[in-house]
Amino acid sequence: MNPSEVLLLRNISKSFPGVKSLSGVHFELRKGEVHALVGENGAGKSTLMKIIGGIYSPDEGEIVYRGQPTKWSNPQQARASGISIIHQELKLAPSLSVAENVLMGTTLPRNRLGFIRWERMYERSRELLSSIGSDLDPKRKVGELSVAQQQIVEIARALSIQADVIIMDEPSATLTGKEIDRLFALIRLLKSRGVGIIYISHRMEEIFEISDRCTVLRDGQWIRTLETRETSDKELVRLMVGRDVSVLAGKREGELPSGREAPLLGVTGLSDGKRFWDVSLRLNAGEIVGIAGLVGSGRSEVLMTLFGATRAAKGDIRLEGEPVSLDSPRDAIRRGIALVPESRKEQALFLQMGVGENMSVLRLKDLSAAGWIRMKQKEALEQESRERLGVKTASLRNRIVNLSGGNQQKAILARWLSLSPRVLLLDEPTRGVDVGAKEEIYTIIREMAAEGLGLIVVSSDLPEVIGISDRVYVMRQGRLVAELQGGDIHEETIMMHATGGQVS
Amino acid sequence: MNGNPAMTETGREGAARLNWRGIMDKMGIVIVVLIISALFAVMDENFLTWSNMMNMLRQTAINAILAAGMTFVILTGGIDLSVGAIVALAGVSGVYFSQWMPALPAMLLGTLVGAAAGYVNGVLTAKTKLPAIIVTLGSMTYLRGIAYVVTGGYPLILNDGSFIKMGQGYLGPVPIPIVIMLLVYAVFFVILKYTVFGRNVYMIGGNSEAAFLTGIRVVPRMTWVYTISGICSGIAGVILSARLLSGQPNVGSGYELDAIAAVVLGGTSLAGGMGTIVGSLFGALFMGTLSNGLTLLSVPYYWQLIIKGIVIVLAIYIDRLRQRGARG
Amino acid sequence: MRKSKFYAMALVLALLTSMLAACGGNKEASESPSQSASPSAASASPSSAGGGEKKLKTVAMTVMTLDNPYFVAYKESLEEVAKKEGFEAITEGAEFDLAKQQAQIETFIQKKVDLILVNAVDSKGIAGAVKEAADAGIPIIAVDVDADGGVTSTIMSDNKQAGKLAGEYLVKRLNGKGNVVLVNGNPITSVFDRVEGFKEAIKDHPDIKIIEDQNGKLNRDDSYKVFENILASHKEGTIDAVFGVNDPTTIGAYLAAKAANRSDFFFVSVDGSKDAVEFIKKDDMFGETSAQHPKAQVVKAIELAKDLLAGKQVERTVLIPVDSVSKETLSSFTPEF
Repeated sequence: MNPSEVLLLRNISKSFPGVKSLSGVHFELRKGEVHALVGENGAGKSTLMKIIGGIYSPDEGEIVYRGQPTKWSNPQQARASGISIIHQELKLAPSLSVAENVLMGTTLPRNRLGFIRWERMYERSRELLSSIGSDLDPKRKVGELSVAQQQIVEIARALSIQADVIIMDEPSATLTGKEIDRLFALIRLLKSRGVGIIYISHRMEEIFEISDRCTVLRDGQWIRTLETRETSDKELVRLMVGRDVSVLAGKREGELPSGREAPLLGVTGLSDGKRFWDVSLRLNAGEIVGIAGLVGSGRSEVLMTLFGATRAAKGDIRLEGEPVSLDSPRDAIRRGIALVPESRKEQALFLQMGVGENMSVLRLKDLSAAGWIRMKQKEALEQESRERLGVKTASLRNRIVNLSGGNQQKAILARWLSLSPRVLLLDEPTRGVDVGAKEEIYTIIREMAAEGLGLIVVSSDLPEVIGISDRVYVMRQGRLVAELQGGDIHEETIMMHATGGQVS
Repeated sequence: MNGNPAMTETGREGAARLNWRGIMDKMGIVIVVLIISALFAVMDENFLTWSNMMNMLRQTAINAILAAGMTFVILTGGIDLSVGAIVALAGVSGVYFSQWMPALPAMLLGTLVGAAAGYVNGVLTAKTKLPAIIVTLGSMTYLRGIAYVVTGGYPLILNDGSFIKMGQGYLGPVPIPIVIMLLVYAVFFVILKYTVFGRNVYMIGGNSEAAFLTGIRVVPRMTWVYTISGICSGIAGVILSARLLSGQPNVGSGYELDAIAAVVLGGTSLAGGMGTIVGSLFGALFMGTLSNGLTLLSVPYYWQLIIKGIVIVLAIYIDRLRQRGARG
Repeated sequence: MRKSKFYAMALVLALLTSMLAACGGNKEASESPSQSASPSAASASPSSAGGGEKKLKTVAMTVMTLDNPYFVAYKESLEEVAKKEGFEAITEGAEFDLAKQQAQIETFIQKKVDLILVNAVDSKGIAGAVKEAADAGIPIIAVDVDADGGVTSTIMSDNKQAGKLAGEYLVKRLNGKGNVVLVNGNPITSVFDRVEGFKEAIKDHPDIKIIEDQNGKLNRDDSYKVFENILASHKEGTIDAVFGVNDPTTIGAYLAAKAANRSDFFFVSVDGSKDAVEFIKKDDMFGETSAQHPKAQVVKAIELAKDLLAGKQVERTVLIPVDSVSKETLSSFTPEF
């Protein structure tokens, strides 16, 4: 074993009844290395991560940690020996202070009577935080912090147990551009101290910016480990999906619809009074309009208001020139406005219900007489939806919680398309979706536009916004600050408007 | 290599257990009920007789009917602590009305009082967004108070013969409370499975925000859910007063916990969105069987309490094991 | 794998249930050695014989609660008699839940016991269950309180006398003058009778006035709270004596008075419990309790049952006399509970 290797996994296999498993996976992590772990959803990344973290134990194979063959029987053991996982959904206690969260896994400083020494606690957490360049107040409640700040708390916690290995699962998913830069600076700092970092992400540009090596998994198999600087995004994607795909959404062919008539959706001076003000925009039939901006700039709130989920405090919304008042999602739905919300799990899915029922929910009323559901017609609709969107599931009765992110998202799209809406609002339509399914979702979006729907797409993924939109609005701090068209739509201009900065 | 034994295993199990598994996976409590019934049948010859079965089911009917309504509430992620108090109030009201009118309208009015109490619970919970446990804790107290005020603290004596039939009569060989219990379950089974309302109940409990964002009218639905629980408590109250030949203002305290236990034993998740109505029926049967069997076996009273407590916790633990197993 | 674990757990549950059940049963058996080893064996031979040669094999009793020593005395007494006479005894507590008591009686009927003793949670509400037992041909005897629905007989303390004895002691000690607080109980006949007897005793003394009449719900907790409130509204020197309708009620009130440092009055009570006797011994403030004899009630009930089996007529109501226990009579009294 190479002395610089801190962690070595040899020939790891793990199987679950009915769940995709790992077979014969190799993985090695050196000190001070950022090692990206890539693969589509379901490729086995999270299983591997859980094996390293001691949550699962492998059926076969060997784990060598700091040169010693090791078996962890529970996650506490793995943590105690210096393995720390930073989950995508942060595992913090929101009602406790930063200090408590940082020092959670350690023996808290106590006096002789066994009472907590708070001053010492704040001191120690402050030291840890400042060692990673953060001046967060240890007394603040974690629930008050932004996602990025919470991540810093997680990282400080990892350092509090003197982690040799830190696993980061999609750490950038909910961060803004600047925050990602800060995260990367922090990762480089950890690297320089000899911490090995396993970095799991879907975002190509991040992998190329931060990682030293990449390991590609596909269908539970180890595909290849490569030096990042010797490969390209094209090659990585090819290895991940096992075929060639275009990473970025391509431009749509053909004429753009012109805005000569009353627009499909016209918004003037819209405010919710809290998160966004004076937003005016228009959407034509057959058009895809992007809304870009940093997280928290008010993009999602605009969509929620256009969908009637939050009340407008001021402003005017017109559908085909006719003023409408949208007091509830029901109003919006009745008028043909649909919303695919930002968070699938929290806002869209009925996780414990069947895939079919998740797709037919909006039509239950139409499919019933006097409250009684006509089961045959319902099943026919579900079958049709599944085929139309290519939702992959063994049975419509399977619980949707067991589907991959991509298939869940397609089921949500199917739900809304079953209504034949006129306006489709999409908030982060491909978040947590693997590369193959992303491509399919883009295709669906384009087809919808071609059929005459108007679509608004909110996304933090700039290449996505740029690739798919005919026009792009940019929001900053609750206001629409720019409308970009044609050749103006590129990353630099969007970022300039979104951040209020200058083009470098 | 690896896949092969797994394949044969699923193959072997798959064919034999397809239907069996479907039922059992949903309701482990059925197995538990069968096991303890078999045990009691072996240990005491009086257990498995028609008259004892009817006796046991009749005793179970009250809790089972309460559990049926409670299932709706728990499926939406709520809880209804007021059912015991509604039982008392509805029973007292039914008996009170029976002094002035024939049995049928009096019983309907008693049930309606239960429905009204449930409706108020529903409006308060859905509109104010206060936690259901607080709202119904409040109503549990004030409804009991109303029952005392109505009666002045004394039981109201029931003299109406046809009213009494509701609790003591038979339809053929089957006691009327059992018939009503089965009717309630049949109706609720169909509602939960085949109506828009029923499916919406699952959706609201599974994810209330998603339900809102798909245009489901959460507030009226929730109001109905608590009203249904109130109706069930009303029916139970009327039956109970007919069984006890009197409207007792102090009856039914603690019934809410029995009903909740039956629902949870039946596999319904307290978090909402998951569970079946048939499970609740078996949950109630489990508790009824246990009480009946332990008394038949002459187990000393104090020991019965110990056994019941342990067995309930164990039964729920077993059910969780099974559910985890089913999920993989 | 999970599956097999589940079945294993189910088996454990089954075994545990039977083990605990058997264990409970054995306990019973060991207390009555003259009886066959397991309860299921006992009930496996149902009494099908004709009236003449019928013997008591199983006697079942339900009392309103088993968390009051008074009712536990019934249980103990029944067990003692059972041991002596060689029958099986079952006692259930109804936790003041009428529906529960009804279910218990119904299960006794299913079990085909030879005699049911009922201490009704509610005299009128229990009528349905009593009738079921009567219809099934099982003699059912009410103890401590009367029960509707056709009981064979009712055996109870002479509650009126109990109230009267307490009242007479109070009159004597007050010298016929003073303000009295009545800590009343739930509306059951025994309580009515005690209050009636008490009022009868003070009737001829117009200077004795009842200034408060509140429900202490027959238990220490509630009575304690109720009496705290009474103390708050009646200043020192305005109360001269207190009548609690049973010992838990009186003791609750007594403790509340002690906690509030009030000693300007004394207590009279009904029951004759160990606790009350201790207080009488130690403190003048606890004046009197009219002692009931629950054990004698059970003994009498079994006698009546045997008479019934022998084809004799029995009295509809049997009153068991009570004794006034105060400092003077303490030496000759042993409390039963």
